[in-house]
Amino acid sequence: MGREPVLYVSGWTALVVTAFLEVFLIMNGIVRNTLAFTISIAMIQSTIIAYIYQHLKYEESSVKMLPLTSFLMLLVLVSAAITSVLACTPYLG
Amino acid sequence: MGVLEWVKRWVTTTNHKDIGILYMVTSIYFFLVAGVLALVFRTQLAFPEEEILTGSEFNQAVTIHGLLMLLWFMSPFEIGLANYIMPLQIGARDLAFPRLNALSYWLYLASGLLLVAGFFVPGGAADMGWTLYAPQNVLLTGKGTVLAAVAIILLTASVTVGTVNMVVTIARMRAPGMTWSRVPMFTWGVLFSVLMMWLAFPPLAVGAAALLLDKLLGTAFLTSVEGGALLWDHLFWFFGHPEVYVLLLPALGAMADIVSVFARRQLYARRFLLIALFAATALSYLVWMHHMFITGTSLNVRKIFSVTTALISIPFEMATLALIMTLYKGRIVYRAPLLYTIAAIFFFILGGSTGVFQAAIILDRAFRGTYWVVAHFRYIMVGAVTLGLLAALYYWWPKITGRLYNERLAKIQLILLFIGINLLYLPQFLLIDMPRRYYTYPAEWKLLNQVSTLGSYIVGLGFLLGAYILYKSLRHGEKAPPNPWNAWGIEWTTPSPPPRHNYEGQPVVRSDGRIEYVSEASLAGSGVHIPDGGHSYTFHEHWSGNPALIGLALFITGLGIALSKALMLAGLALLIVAVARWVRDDYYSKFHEEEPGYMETWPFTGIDKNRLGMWVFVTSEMFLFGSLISVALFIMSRSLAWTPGYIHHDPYLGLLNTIILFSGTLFYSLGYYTYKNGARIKPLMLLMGTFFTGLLFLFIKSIEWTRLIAEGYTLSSGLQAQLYYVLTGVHAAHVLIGIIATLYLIFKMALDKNVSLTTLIMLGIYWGIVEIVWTILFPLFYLI
Repeated sequence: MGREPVLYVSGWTALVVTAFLEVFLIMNGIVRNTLAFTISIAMIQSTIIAYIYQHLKYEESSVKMLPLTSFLMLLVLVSAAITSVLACTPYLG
Repeated sequence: MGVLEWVKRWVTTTNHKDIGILYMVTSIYFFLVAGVLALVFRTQLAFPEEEILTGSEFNQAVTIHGLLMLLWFMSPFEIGLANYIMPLQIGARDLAFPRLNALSYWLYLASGLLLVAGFFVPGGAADMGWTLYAPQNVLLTGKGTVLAAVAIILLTASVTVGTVNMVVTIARMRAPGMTWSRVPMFTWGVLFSVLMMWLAFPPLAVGAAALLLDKLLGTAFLTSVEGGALLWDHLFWFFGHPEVYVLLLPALGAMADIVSVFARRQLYARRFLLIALFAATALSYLVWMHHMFITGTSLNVRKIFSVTTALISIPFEMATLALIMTLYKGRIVYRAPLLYTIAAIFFFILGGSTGVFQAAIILDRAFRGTYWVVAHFRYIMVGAVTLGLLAALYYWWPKITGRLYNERLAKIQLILLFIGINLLYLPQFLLIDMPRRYYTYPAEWKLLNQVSTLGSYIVGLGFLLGAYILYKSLRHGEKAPPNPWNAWGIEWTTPSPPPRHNYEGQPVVRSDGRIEYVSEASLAGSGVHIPDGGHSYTFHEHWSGNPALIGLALFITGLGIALSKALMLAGLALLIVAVARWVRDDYYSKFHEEEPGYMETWPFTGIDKNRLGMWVFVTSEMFLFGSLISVALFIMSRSLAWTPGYIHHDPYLGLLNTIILFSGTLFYSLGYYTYKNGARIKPLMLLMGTFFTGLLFLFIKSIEWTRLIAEGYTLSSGLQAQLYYVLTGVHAAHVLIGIIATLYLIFKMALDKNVSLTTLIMLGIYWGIVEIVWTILFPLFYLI
């Protein structure tokens, strides 16, 4: 087996393990801030998917900038939208 | 050419110049509709207590006027101009994806007609102002708002496709020697503009979709007391403020080109100007909340946005200075395009300086909703952008039509517009105490309103004269030489109007700035195929009726959504036929075209145009999903009734589906690897694995949905349930599209048709997005 298939299988293993871990930790009440935790896990999984399965690993930096820009702008939209009303937030408060 | 042939030619064309003309003509049609509406409501406002229009009719008129002017006139006119001029400026023969370009146009036309159709449906057109504020957009209005929401979603699709095309064309199809430092300012303006559209439109589409769902299915995204109105504000203004610069930058780019040509000198501080415009592009995403200063947002957030709003004026001050300094000490030739540009700069200064006040929270509270804001915005949109676009039109008109026009009349038109615009909008600054969108008013505001209305008539007269000038030019205008302005730039080196293939030979920009034509063979080396008996260029004309058919199908579907289920189903059936015809063309590689290897492509040298296009598209799609997820997080953060997901959903079933989805991508990747290494059966089997895992995912999802609905967890179970069904539903639709695409490639490979590695990589990029979105949706709905 060449290096690429190993990478693909390793990536898949990492995705599955993190998914199991996420469910196990949350369902057993081990994680305190579930939102922050799940977003962190989602970011790790997204990076693996983009890097390995979307072949971003093999693209030049200018192409890598496209999803990165989109992600950063999304972060701005989400964080500004949520924090703009944080003062009256019962759930996240 | 007979009438039928003429119609067929325009319906099936994919040539960038034809599409450009279609865009411009259509946008002028929408401009006329919007202009007539403006004259009608200005007539109403000429006298106090006037009742020509009822309150509802007045509201419909101002709403559709605003939407048409911004979204269906200005921006599409620029896209039309960009379609025609940009490839000529950079030395390309067409846009990167001609058929998608045609699709973009037909979606735009369908969307605009749907919006205007609102006047003819029960309840009339959308009537809550062009900002379509919630919850009025859901609660107060009829079918016209449904049509407006569908129109916005279709327009977003058109814009997204257009953005992909423009970005890829500018990035990868520049003539040899056309490095970034030599790219004309108009093309730069277009690039900055589409980069803003790229991420600004998806949140608007999400807002429009929420509006549609609230109207049709009774969800409460925008009517919820837990922040529905604020949610709309966020989604709308995240689009709305960049949209101002989306409109401004192409006009500013054209003005920069014009100033440089007619001042007979290089653009002053061009590099700094580009840096400024880049900064403005980035900052444009960080100012939207100044439109929400009077909502209940936190004071600290308001302070941050107050600073960013003040900051964004700096790049535009630099731009204005660069234009003025270019004129300073220039050998100015006072031709019509330059005079229009100078007028536009004047109006830009007036409109811009009156806008800076809005950055101050306290002043914004005072000005919000008054005619001051109306005047400030119109000085920018009508004074700067529209006059800038007129300058551009008069500048490139001889190139587009091959005819000169009567400059004396064009100058008279400018005088009329200059007087008219000032009479129309200056009094509105003084009407600071009159709230906007009042359909009638007491006598104290009479004089200023009358002056304003007089100004609107003069502006109308100015545009009528403009129509006459262009008509006369087309019918009797003197033939234009290739370069009537003694301008530099590739577009001026080809005949007016340019031939279908743009250039004889391939233009090349030499290091000293000279433009030369060489044969493609000499650039590509030996082995280049030169068709048509030895021409020095390669050009394939494509014709396809499928883009128009898709546009028609979506128009009928859109009407059906508002009016009748049968009509909607008919539209969807037609859509399936149109898409099948499109795919059939792909199957036979009818539009496949190799990229020449000698064009300027930095910094995207290691990627072909299809893959780059896919990345631009997918990142926009990612933003669409991101906006949906931000809606969920926003509602979740405000909701008092949000319960942990595992109460409603089985987390272990969700986990199983997650692993199934991950496995599908593993199969795909291994399939790609084996195909790359020459295997033919293994990749087929592995892609079948992707296909079946996708089906399995949907099967499990359908079991979940059926069980939940049987348990009474439906759309009427509150916002959390509504979010679940909408987000997982949209995701499932994407899975279904992935399944169909995978099946298509399996068939193509099985039948020994050529499937490139790029096509397979593109499939992987698509499946990747489907998975990434699921990594967020799964915990959001099953675990938190």
